[in-house]
Amino acid sequence: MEEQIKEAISSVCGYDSQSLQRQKNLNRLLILIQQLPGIYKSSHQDYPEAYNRTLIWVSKNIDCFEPQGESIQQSFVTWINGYLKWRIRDLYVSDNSYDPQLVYPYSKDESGIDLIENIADPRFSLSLLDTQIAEIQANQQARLGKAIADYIQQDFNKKLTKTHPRKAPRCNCQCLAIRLLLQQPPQKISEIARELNINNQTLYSHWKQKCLPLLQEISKELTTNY
Amino acid sequence: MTLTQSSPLTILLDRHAHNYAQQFASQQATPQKGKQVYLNTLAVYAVNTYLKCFPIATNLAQSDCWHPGIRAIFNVADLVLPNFGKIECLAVLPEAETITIPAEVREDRLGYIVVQFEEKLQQVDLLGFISSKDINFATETFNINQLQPLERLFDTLDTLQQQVNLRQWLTGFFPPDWQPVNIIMAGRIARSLSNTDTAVTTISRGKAIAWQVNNTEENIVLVLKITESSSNTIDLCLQLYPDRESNNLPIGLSVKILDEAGETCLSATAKDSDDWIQLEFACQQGEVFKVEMNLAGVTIVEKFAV
Repeated sequence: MEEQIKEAISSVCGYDSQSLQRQKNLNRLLILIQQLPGIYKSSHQDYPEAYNRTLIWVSKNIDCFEPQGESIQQSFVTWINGYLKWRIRDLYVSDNSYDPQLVYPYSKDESGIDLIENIADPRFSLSLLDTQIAEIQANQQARLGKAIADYIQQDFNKKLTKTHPRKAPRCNCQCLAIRLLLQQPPQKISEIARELNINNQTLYSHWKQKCLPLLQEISKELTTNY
Repeated sequence: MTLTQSSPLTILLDRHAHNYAQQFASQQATPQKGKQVYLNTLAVYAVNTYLKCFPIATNLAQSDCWHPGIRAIFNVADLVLPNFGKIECLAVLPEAETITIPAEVREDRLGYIVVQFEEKLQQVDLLGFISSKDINFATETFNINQLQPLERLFDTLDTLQQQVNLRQWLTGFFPPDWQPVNIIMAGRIARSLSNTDTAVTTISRGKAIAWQVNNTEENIVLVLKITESSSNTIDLCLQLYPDRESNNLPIGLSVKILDEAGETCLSATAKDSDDWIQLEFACQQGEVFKVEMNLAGVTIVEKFAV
């Protein structure tokens, strides 16, 4: 592990800041960091942001890292934790005021809290998301998304229905927008093509060249009312 | 401990990510569409956070997923990389094995980063990257085991950064990011670009260059005029202009021309209230050179071959 960390760090620092190899090696170093035992974890509400900003800080300052003592791993973890703990205290102060020599000496007993179990405020979870979103949507007086969906369904000026490939009026933009955008989950292009008895590629080209720009124009127009 | 380059990278979802996601989802027609927008927003926010670790500029505000009308109508999770194009951040649910690419995001993408969620929306895993050219769009889906390591993104960007072949300009072929000067300058006058001698071929093109400095974006336009003075020699005139939002170049902006060996041949730095910079030089056929532009310690390099 010592060797792995040593090599990972020097493989980043050995390259010019813009070089391809440095970006790739930095990516590997970031993956390595999140597997390091001892990286500080906390249930503090600002921890996620502080943690992400620590990854960014490490990426920008890795060239300044100087191992102290015998173990590179321990030294590296201390260096990362120093910034992370400092950042949690204040998310808004500039990086320039951080002095790694002054704050947060290494403390052995502060690691080991299980991140997943302890982060506060799990406001949203996947299985409850529909319900939670339905609630916040209900509190909105007027919703742009609803206006756009209604526009597509009604197509009051026939802009969408009259845009179709020659001899294939059923394959019009309204029909495609309903099946590809409004319907959840959307239908596959190949399915629609089979159903409407039209070539896959013809349908996709029509969608790409005619429908997408038209729909974009409509949605941008409706946005100005919100 | 096992570590491979193909391990996923975890990004935590902070309060800002959830605030944006909530705000964007609340505007949608149905809870299902709201959920799609919620997850797309988190995915893009996470990838944007990840890219801040690298010297790669991003622009959320220019991305379709940040436009209220566009995200309401399309299933978009794009992220604009100003000097390259855009990538799509595909949100996938836990245990997903195949990934469907929405019909509206199959064009104009450099590639796709797959972002996997967990039941608790506290973190995401960036599973990997797949370049657009490796996807068979006819099938509309790809299998998760086709994914390449995340670092392949940098190969794709590097290829784009490879040198621009100026000989091709003379035959009318231009990379997409090099635009006609009247378009990229949006009607403003570029200096001394008109051709006085009609016997020689002169071509001018411009490219938008963007920096992310202290959370604000600095934009300039790099203009290159090439004149074929003999069959072997090309005269070059390089100019830097502020973008349309500004009257002056950012102070401290510096530009260098480097030869193949990396030696600086010419250089200039923008001072207070400079509204343009110009460097003139000549190259022989087969020569290569680099233009290095530096602002606040961040260098952007453009490579050229004559």
